[in-house]
Amino acid sequence: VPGTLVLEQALNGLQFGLMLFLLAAGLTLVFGVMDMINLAHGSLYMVGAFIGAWLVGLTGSFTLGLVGAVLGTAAFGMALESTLLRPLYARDHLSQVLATFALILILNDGTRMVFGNDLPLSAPEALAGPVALLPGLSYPAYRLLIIGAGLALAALLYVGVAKTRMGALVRAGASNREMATAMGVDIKRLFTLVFGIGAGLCAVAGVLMGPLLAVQVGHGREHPHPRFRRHRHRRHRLDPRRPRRRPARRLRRHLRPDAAAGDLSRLPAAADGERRRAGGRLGGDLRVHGGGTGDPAARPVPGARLMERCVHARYARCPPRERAASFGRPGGRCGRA
Amino acid sequence: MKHRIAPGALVLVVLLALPALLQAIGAGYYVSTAGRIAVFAIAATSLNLVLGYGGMVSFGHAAFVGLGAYATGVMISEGSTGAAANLAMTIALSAFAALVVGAISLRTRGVYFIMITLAFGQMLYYLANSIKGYGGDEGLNIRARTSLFGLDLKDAATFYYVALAVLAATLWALAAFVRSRFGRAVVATRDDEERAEALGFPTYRYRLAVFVAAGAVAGIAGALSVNQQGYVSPALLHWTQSGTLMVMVILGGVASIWGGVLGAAVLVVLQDTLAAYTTYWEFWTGWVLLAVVLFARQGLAGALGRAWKR
Repeated sequence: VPGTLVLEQALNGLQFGLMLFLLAAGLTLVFGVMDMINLAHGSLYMVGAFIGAWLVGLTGSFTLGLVGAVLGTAAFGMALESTLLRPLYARDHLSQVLATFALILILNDGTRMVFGNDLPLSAPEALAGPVALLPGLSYPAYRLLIIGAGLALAALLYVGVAKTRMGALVRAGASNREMATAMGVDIKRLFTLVFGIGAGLCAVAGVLMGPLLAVQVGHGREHPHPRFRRHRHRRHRLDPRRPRRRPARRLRRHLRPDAAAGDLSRLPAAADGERRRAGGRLGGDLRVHGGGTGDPAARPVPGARLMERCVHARYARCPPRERAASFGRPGGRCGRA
Repeated sequence: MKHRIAPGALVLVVLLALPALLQAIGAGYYVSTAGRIAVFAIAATSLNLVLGYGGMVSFGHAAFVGLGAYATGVMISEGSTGAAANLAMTIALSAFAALVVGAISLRTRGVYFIMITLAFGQMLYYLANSIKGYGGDEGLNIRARTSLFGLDLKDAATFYYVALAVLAATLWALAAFVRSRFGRAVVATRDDEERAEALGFPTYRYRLAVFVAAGAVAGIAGALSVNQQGYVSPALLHWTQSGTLMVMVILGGVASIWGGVLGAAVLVVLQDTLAAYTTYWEFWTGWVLLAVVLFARQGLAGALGRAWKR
C-alpha cells in the first residue's frame, strides 16, 4: 500500500534526519562559539561508532557500549580540542580547513590501525523485532528507539542551551566572544566542554546508526573512508540482483605472469589505480606503490549517497512483510539471509 | 642575474633528463610518477591562481579537473581522439562549469564561499556518479589515447614530456599574469576589495575571469590525467581531491609561482614513499600536513626563498 510506504519512508527520514541533527548540533556550537571550521567533526562520529562497537563486543551490552562510547568520545574530543584545535582558532579559515582535513586523514587511518577496517555491531536483542504502529504498518522497534532518542536529545539540548547557566554562557560566547571573556567567562574551558558535548552527541549518533549501517568484517574490495565503508558493503547485500563485484577485476585482466612475478613496470598504466586498490587484497603478490591522493582512481569512495540509499532502500526494496522481519538480522537481506 | 639563471637551467636539464636518469638507475616505474606529479602540479598551479592570487578559497577545484577528465574520456571512448577537439571540449566544459559555479559562488565571501564551492563540487561529483552510460560510480576505462602529433601517450616518458610542456606553459602564463596589469588588479582585489573597487576595477568580473581561467587549466590537467591513467572515475571529483590540491598549494606556497609545483612534487613523493612502507600512509601524511599548517605558514616556496636570499 503506497500510504504505509510513504509513512514508513517518512519515519525513516525522520530517524535519519535526527541523527544528522545530533552531528550538526555539535558542529554548529563549534562554529558558532569559536568561528572555527571543523571538517573533522564527522570523524568523531566514526570514532564514536568504533568505540561503541568495540565495547559492545567486549561487554555484550548495548547500553554499556553506548554510554562508554559517549564518555570515551567526549574525552577524546576534549583532548583533541585542547591540543590540536586550540591553536587554530586564531588562524584564518583556510588554515582551519586544511588542518582539520589533515585530522580526517589521521583519524581515519588511526581508527583503522586501532580497530581494523570494520567492526560488527547489531541492535540489542530486545529491540530486534518490529512494532505494529497501525494496522498494516509495522516498524522496527530499534528505529523507533532512534527517533525517540533523537527527539529526547533535541529537547535536552534546547533546555540546556536556553534555560541553564552554561547554556547562557555558550550563547554569550557565540554572540560576542570578547565581551563574554571580559565578563569573566573562561571561554577556553567552556569551549572544551562544549566540544566534548558535541563529540558525545556524535558518538550517540554513531552508535545508534551502527546496527543499521554496520557490516561484518569481510571482503575488502578497497579502502574507502572507514566511516563509509560499511555502507558500501551493505549495498551489495541489499540488492540481490546486483552481482557482487569481484575485487581487482580490472587488475586481473591486466595481470600477466611477468607482472605477478614482481616486475611492476610492465603493468600498463591503466592498472595503476587498480593495483593499489587491490594491494591490500592481493597481499604478497604485489607491492603497493604510490599514494592515494596521487592517484584519483584509488581515492576513498565516499558513501553519503550510499548511506541514504541504504537507509531507504533497505526497507523500500523488500516486500512489506519481509521488510520488518529482516531487521536486525546479520546481513539484513529480505528474509533471505 | 647570471647566477639566478644557472640553477634554473640546471633544474631544467635535470627535468628533461629525468626519464633517462630514472631508467639508468633502474627505477623506470617512477617515470609515470613523475608524469603524475606534473599533472598534479598543473592542477595545483591553477588552484594557486584562484586561492593564492585571487584570494578565493575554492574547495571544489577537483570538480573542474574531473570535468575535464570526463570530457576527454568520454570523447575518446566515443572514438574522437583528435587533440584539438579533445582540448576544445575539455576547456569548453570545465570553463563553462567554472563560469556557472563562479558566477554564483563569488557573490559570497569567507566561509560561505568555501562551503558553496564545496557544495558545487560535490554536486558535480554526484553527477559523475550517476552517468551510468559512462561507467557511473565504477568509472570509465579508456583504451585509446588522445592522438597528439602521433605521439604515444601510453609511453610513460612521452607522457611525461607532454605533461612537462603543458606545465611549463601554465607556469609561464601564471608568471605573465602576475606581471600584468590585470594580475596586479586581481591581487589588489584580494588584499583590499573595497579599495580596488573604489579605484574603479570591476572586481566581480575580474575574480570571475580568474576563476574561469583556473577552471579551464584544471580541466586540462584532468584531460592529461585521463591520458595517463586510461581511466576516469568520479573519485577524481571528490572533495578529498579538492582538499589534496589545497594541501599541495599550501605546502608549496600560497601565491608563489612555484608553489603548486613544489607542493605537488613533495606530496606525491611523500605519499608514495610512505605507501611503500606502510598501509597507514594517510596517517603519517596527515601529521606532516598538520605540522605544515601549524608551523610553516609560508609553505616550502617561502622557506626556500628565505634560504635563497641568505
